[in-house]
Amino acid sequence: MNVVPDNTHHDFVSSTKFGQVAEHAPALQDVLRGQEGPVSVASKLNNRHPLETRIQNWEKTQHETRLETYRRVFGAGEPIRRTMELEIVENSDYKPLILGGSDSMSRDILMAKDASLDWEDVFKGESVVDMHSEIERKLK
Amino acid sequence: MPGLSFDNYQRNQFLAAKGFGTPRATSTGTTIVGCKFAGGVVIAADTRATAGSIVADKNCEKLHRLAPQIWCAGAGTAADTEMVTQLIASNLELHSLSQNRKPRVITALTMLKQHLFKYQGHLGAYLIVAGVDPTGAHLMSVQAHGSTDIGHYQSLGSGSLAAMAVLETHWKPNMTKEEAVQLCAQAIELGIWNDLGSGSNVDVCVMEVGKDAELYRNYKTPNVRESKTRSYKFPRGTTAVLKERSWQVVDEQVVATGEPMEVDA
Repeated sequence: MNVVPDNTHHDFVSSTKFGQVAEHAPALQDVLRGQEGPVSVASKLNNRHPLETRIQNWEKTQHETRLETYRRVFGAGEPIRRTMELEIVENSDYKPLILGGSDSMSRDILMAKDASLDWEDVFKGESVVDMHSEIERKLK
Repeated sequence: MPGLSFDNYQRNQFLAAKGFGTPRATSTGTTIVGCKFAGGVVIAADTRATAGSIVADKNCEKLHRLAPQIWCAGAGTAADTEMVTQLIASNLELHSLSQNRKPRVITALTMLKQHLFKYQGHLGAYLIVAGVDPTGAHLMSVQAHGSTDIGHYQSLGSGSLAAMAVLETHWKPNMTKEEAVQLCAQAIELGIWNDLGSGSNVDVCVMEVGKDAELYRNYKTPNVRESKTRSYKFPRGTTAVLKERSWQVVDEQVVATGEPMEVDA
């Protein structure tokens, strides 16, 4: 059980870790869809800001820690129920990013964030891809 | 990635390696103190903001409001103390609305330390948090990495050594409000004189149980700017009058006379 995210130094990465996999050649990245040109794996791995992965995985780690604590205190049913509820909300509440993205209220309540505000709530950092590939990814 | 963007980090590293200077944050080389007294707590701060060896602001405000009766004094990176306290102030308000209770100092402190710990000291905010809540008066401090302290008197910032000398010498338990304000103001003034990062004026905030918090902006102004030895204001009549012309404006009324205008019937 981790309270803070692990320091993620990769010993090896697959060639498709940092982008979408191309449909026709599953070992390669989809350069056309990604719209960023060929991805430099070296620059994705080396010389990154020390905080980056920590902040990226912060909420996930906190959530997992909470679920693990629930499991130890209340038994397996509690985290299973919470995960199911969260999944139901995420699957039923959908609006494409180009139309403003889905409302996060139900999710915030389940994540116990409905009475707090952070920079992540203001700077959402979602890059708007075309609606078709977004729905495609969603339904996959 | 939501939140802070690290997109330009590699580019900035590259530019720095090529010899382009990276921008530096304005830091408040600071003296801030806090001190408890019978029935309340008082915090005080100097008002100098520095950017390297330059004084960036001679009268900046380092006392921030977290809640109506919880205030905090900030040292470290000026922007970080400002933004972190604003964010925590919003969260405290949301929390108190959700709980339907007045915010507590320990809540503010926990929010601050959890937020700062997440960013591992990259947010350079060193704060003294003080306030009164239903459980009494409290004085605490939090460091940039998320560690916290509780005490009857606290000092932080580059002038904290000078200020702490005063607090250690003159602090005694159960002081009156006036004594505590005097003590804090004196501690800040020692920081102003003996620390190059601190200067200008003394700001004080007093929080008393059962009363509104009182902010004394520029409680002491020991560094009032001297008037210039020579005045550059010219007295009236310094410039000679070369030519003078005057017009007499007469209010002339035109009275319409003669036949009325013909109108087609």
